[in-house]
Amino acid sequence: MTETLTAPAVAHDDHGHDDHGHLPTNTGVTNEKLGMWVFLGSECLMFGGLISTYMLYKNRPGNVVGVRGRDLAGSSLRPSELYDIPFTSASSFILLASSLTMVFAVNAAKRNQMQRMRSYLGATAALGALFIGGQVYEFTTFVREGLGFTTNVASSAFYVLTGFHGVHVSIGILMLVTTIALSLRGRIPHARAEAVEIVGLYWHFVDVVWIVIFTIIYLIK
Amino acid sequence: MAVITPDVHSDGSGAAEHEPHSDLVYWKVGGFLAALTALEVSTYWWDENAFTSAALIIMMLIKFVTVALYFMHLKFDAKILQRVFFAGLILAGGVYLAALGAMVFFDNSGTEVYNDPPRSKPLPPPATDPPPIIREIHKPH
Repeated sequence: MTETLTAPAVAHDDHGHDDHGHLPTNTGVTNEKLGMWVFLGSECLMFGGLISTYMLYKNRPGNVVGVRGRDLAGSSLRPSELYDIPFTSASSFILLASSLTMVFAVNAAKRNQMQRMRSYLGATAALGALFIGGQVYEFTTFVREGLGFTTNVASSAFYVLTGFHGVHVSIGILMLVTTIALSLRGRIPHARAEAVEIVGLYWHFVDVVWIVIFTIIYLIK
Repeated sequence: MAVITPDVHSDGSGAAEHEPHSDLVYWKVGGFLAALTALEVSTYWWDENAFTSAALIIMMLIKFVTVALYFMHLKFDAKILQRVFFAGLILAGGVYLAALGAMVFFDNSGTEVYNDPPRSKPLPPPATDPPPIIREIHKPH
């Protein structure tokens, strides 16, 4: 059986390389970008597991029995009793705004406006840092209210989920700062604008995960 | 056997590289997402019922797909990415829902909290003396 695949219409030189020095692929996507998508797919599964765990335990903080009937729950305080929705909403808007600045950075890179690109990347990193600051404040408040990491299974699930997301945002900030530094040293010319797009994919993924966390964990009672 | 033919379409049906879109497009998408987020947040002060939860999940899905399509460029990239991403996502979502169901997440225990585990259901009364009729049968002669 003959199957017809469609190859992308990309200009190639005599050696089969496209304008950006990549070998053509029959998926129409460069290997670097495809690699990032595969990585993000695996991240989806990891966050799916963490979100499911929190959903299972969020209303059962004091109902976990361990070996020989020993009660493992230290306190029945639930994370949802301490949520500050207006504050978390502000954090959500900040992360959403960072996605917008990120997409402008990718656009600027494609247009070869490198100074503009660096400004937008800097703004994205600053907004991400603001989000992390908000998360640190939230965690600190929760601990002061008596909800520690080992208080009960609901608190553990909450801190692991939101903490993992925070770590991802922090790694994203590092990636953004590194991209700015590389650009300043001339290591990201217009021909390699896709590198900025790949960093952007990661950043938008972090935003997408927060969209799910904010709704399922914070807003749905 | 696979035959590779060049894609002559420039409508995003397979092009790896595409021209950057106007910033205005992204401003509009960003504004739409911000408005939807504001609506989501407003539900916090609505009455708590199944409609609110359903509305929140629908709004979350719209935001998720919008960011993936526009900000992550799935709409403009090779279609294979879009198909693989959404097919995988739907499959994974189904698996997670099945797993949650297996762990009695959707069971209503009848208590104030919706998804309490079954063991929090009221326990049956402890066994007492057998009913009189049984007592009669086992009466020692």
